[in-house]
Amino acid sequence: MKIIKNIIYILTLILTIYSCDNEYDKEVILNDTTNREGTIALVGGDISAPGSSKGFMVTLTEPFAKKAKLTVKAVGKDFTETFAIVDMDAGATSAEGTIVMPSVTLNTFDKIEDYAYIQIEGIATGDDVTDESGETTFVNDANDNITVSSNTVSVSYFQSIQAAYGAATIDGRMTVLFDWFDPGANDLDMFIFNADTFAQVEDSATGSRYEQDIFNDTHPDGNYFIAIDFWVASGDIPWKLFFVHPDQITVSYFEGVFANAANGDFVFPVVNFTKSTDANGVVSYVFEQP
Amino acid sequence: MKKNIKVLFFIFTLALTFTYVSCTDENKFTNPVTFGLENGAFATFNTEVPSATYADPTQINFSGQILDPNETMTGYNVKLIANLSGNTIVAEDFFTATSFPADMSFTSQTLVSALGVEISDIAFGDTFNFIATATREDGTEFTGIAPAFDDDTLIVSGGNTEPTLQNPNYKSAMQFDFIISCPAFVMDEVVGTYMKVTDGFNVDYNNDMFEIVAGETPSQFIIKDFFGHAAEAGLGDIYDVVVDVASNGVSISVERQPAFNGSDSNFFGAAYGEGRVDGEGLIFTCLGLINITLQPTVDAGSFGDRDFVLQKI
Repeated sequence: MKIIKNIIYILTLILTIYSCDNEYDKEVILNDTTNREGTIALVGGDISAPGSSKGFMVTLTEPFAKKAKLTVKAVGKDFTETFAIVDMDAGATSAEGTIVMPSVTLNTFDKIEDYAYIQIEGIATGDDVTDESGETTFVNDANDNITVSSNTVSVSYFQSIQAAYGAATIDGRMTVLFDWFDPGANDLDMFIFNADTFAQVEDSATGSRYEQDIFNDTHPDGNYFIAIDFWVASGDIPWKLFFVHPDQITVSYFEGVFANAANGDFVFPVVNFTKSTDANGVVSYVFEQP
Repeated sequence: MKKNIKVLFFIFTLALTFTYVSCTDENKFTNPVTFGLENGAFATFNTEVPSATYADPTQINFSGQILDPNETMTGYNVKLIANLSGNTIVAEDFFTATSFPADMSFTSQTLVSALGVEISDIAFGDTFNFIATATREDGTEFTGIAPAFDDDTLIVSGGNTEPTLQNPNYKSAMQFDFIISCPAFVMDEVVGTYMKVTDGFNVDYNNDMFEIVAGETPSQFIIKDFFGHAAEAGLGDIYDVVVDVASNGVSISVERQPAFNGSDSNFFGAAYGEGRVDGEGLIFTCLGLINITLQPTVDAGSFGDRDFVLQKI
């Protein structure tokens, strides 16, 4: 009997020690994280439209030894989200990227102030690794414990700032979109003239809302202006002109009111612009409302 | 002796159990999932919940009470996102409250005032979506949208209200919506010839026209030969799609059923065998309009959700 008791006591002691071996330390361990404050700024103005690309620059206070991928988020007022990932080279503290703005169906002539905002959502550090087949993939740093937060920048929306061209169609080319109030009652048409020769070089004369044009690089460097013809018009007609630069990011925006408009009126120059090409063949535009 | 051994064995088992439990040192938990759970901020309706449909745009009327079941909420803010005739209009701060229970009400007039439109701008098929942001005592905000995660980009998106909380039993006030439906479901208005205005599958015999006939019950109608097999005589079978209408007269559903011949070369050029569809949608009999999302499937798998807009002509 005494032997049995001793065996039980010893067994209990052994099992107690064994059971106190803390297995919970073997569970998944979430690393402590270090937050970095980043800054995001818009590139090319603070207006956009549903589904249009918006340029941004992200800046961090200090560089990383490894390549970083920053996730940028755009959120519309209806909570629709879009994301973009921009690469930041090792040692760099800034990078530029573009994000497709959240889609929404609109039917308005007016500007919708601060419809969406953009911020840095996250970051991952790692290295580009090229395998034997030559394929390069980004491999996350196993010790990555960096998080990032940032300011938010707001973007105002118009229903459209550019016609729905294919990206390849407008790559490197400037586009124009003309909009005006009450296109159901007022039919306006848009023309582009060479200000040096006074020759009409482009036109858009539909019977519906928006007149739009792709301004080809084949046009010589020089001065141009926008002219508007009033096919059917009456009263005061507010108007807007959107120029998307060849980088497809920068937007120049102008607005005004055609006072006491009447059928057959022809107004020019509504907006003047200059096309120039530098030594590297890069085309740029400068716009000015007289 | 035997009795003593039993007693000792019992004591031993008891001691072992207590020992095991007592050795669980919570301070050494390193995975927050095992100990870090805490109540978020979550708003519910007390008894009355907004109707899912309103048949008369001029008679929208709701009055209820917002509760704070977790007793953590210090703020409740509702954003109204309306889609009127395809145009999205957002009204910020449609309703706010900082103490609970809080009375909440809206009418046709308060809705249009918030949106900056007229009551006459509201039409059948327009939707009103209310998304709340609940603020917890510590300032953490909880948005009434389900979180999402992209496996490819590892991006977390959406809000932070789990979809299970939107179960009707919870009477969630984090997100709710309603649609302006037709005054009633009228079978005579349903029956007729339709055209596919939007064809999300776009796999058929270019047969955009089809007939809809009444079903076997008053809440059932049948889309005849939806994918147009009959347009090409001898090519495959004819499949009709039976559609069930919910009691609200606007929600429709399609139980999984044969709908197309997936082996026909006019479809995919592959022997997929019998093709089936299932899905849900909305019907507006007064407009002769059906919006439905169908998932075509075959034995090999799914073709994903495909949207169809069907207009009576």
